[in-house]
Amino acid sequence: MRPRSHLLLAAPAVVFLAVFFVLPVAAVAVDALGEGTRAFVRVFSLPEFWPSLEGSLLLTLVAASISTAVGFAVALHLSRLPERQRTLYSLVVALPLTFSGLIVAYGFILGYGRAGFFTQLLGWLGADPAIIGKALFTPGGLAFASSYYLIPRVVMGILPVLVNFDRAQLVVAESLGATPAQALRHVLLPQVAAPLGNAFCLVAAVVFGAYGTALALVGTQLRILPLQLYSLISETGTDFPAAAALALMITAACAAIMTTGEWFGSRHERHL
Amino acid sequence: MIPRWITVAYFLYLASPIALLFIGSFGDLWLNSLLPTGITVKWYLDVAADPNFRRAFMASLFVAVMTSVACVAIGLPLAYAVFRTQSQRVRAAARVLYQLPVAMPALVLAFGFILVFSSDTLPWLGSIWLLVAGHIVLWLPYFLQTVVADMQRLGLRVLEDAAETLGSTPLQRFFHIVLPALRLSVLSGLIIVVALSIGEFQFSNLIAGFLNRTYPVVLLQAFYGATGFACAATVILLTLALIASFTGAFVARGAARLSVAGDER
Repeated sequence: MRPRSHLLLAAPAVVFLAVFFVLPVAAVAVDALGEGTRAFVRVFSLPEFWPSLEGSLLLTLVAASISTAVGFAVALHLSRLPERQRTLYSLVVALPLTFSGLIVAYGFILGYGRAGFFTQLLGWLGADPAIIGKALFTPGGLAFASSYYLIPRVVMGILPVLVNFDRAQLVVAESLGATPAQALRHVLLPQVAAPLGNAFCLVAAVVFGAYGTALALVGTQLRILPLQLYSLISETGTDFPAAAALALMITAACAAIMTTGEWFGSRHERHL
Repeated sequence: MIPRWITVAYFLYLASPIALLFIGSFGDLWLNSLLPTGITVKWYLDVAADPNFRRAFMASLFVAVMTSVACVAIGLPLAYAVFRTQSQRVRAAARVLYQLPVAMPALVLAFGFILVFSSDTLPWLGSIWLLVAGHIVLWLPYFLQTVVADMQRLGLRVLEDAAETLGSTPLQRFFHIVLPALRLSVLSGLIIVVALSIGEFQFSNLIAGFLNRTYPVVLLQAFYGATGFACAATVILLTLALIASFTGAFVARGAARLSVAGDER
């Protein structure tokens, strides 16, 4: 087929994306930059901005770290299983990927909310239910709940790498006197560091830009940037250029995190 | 040893919210007790009888189906163009498109929609078709990625070249080789699209008009009411997602078999 007919095939989708993707994004950028840097200055002087930035950074760091660590451990275990078992478990691990953020939110309220199942169980074991019941509604608690749909992304990203890893290298290392932990640390980890970095960035970008689970869990009181943007948009008589400036900053942060992840990914490909 | 224990703990963490939602949806009363007391199906009947939920369910279904139709109508030709192109630039653009759902939060897209489509020139805000358009932007990349990956794995180009040497026209090749070979990956791509579209909240919450609110948007209101009702309403969404996951896995397995058969030939 000639290049021109390819263009023709792609044309409907390209036109569609121009109207319903490029145009809205351009509108956000134009609104944000229309007054030079003044809209950004107004965002920085909002009383909730700096606490929200802090909350978002805390949420993103904690959630991405927990998810990458747990996801790596789960993928490591699954990679050692026979293929049939691994396929079955992978299917179960992937389930949360299609769950709405609301399902996660309400499920965690039932489990870890003020009168939640696990909150009460821990209360019987001597923990203070008042403290545990409140913990879910902090950025740390939100990180715990968000990991529910982040860990599967890590497992799905890392598992193929671990399955293809030649385990004979670990056997050799151990036969040369390394402990299993040393073999993992010095033989396996350097080889999977790039895909792990990639997975970390992917889930960090996802959680940095999300507001659904947070809104369902806590409402708009929680201080994270996407919820601040949501409040700005849904309030009447809002300062739209300031909201646009905030939206642009959130997008830039997500895109930057993703680009870093891609860089890790390309490093791994070169390594192969 | 440690990874095994983490995996066990992880599966408990994974299963517990699902189990609690199911238990809660059949529980008569759940107030400050470990588990609910009494067994009932009244919450499901209540949800089914609620006009808001019925309307929202139909709206969600409509959006999901229309998004799927659009993915096939404009996404499949785009996927084919991306697959056949020699241009590195087009391939790079496609890779950027795959990253979009993450790099570009749904919240920001929704805000862009509010800015553009509440204007006098394009006053479409509140229309269900605008909601559909947004869902297409959100889920097209997933569909595209699934289908393009399958085209590459199947080695479609070799089959097409063979057909071309036998004198087939491009249209014949598209309908007799490309479409039949891709039927399973198109299906599994559409299952992903439907599952994601039905559960989508962050975009729809800002864009849906009052009369075409989707299921998740209405569901959020239920969280402030009776526990049993909220559980039942959530379980309905959860069950749809579970069905989609299992069907999707089943179809994907079929697609993988297809490629193995292709290799043997």
